[in-house]
Amino acid sequence: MDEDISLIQQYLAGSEGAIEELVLKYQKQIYAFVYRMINDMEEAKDLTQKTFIKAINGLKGFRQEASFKTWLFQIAKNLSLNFIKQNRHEEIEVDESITGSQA
Amino acid sequence: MSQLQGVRLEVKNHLEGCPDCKAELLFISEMVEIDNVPDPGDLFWNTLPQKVRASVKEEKADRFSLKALFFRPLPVAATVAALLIVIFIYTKKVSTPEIDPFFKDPLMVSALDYNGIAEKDIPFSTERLEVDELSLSFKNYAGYGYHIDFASLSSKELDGLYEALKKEQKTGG
Repeated sequence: MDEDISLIQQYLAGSEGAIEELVLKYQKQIYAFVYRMINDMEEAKDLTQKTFIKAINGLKGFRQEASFKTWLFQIAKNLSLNFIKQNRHEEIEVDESITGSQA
Repeated sequence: MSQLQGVRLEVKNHLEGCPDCKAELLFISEMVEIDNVPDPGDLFWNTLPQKVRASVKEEKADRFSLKALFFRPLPVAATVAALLIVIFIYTKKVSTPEIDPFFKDPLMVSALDYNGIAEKDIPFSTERLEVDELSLSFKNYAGYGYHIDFASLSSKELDGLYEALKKEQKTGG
């Protein structure tokens, strides 16, 4: 945990290499977590990348109330839920257009 | 209580008081679950850190910052000056030109004060106008006098006149 805080502080101080270390540390867990939620490999890869970008861009606002890992998983969960919601909307629209054309 | 149960209880008690071990156990459980997840391949794992780093850097550069304004005042000042010039030209073009008050309100002409203006100061006097009109319609109008005179002659007189002009070779045309 202290290692994460140290990496975050390094990044905020200007060391961009710290980003890569954070990603290396958590990429497999985040990818697996996202995949289990959305069950699509390509989308899971995309959302994993988005999770890290979002987390790192928001590091200035990270108040360390929870651990970095918890925060990262929370972002991954929100992005996955948004993806599922968006996909459902698209599926419903497609279904409606099919049933509409059949009527 | 079996030996296994005893170990479990011991581990459980330890986990409750040790957040590091708790996190490690969570990580191990997640890793076990990862086995059911398809592996996207080494290319993905090896390039993701660099991709994230590059994206973050790009987004940071795109973001508007007051700090950048402070350190690059010249382009900012040039942009502001260009904008001001455009606004100035635009407002100049759009604003309506000043209209002659007489054009705006023709009735104002009737309110003009003619007192104090001498007749000689008026460039176009009534007298001159009459003369000019006469010269146009009477004096300069070619053949006017003849028409009137001819109209009053009888056919006999006209024949006589014709013969006289013929003698003087003033007919034709």
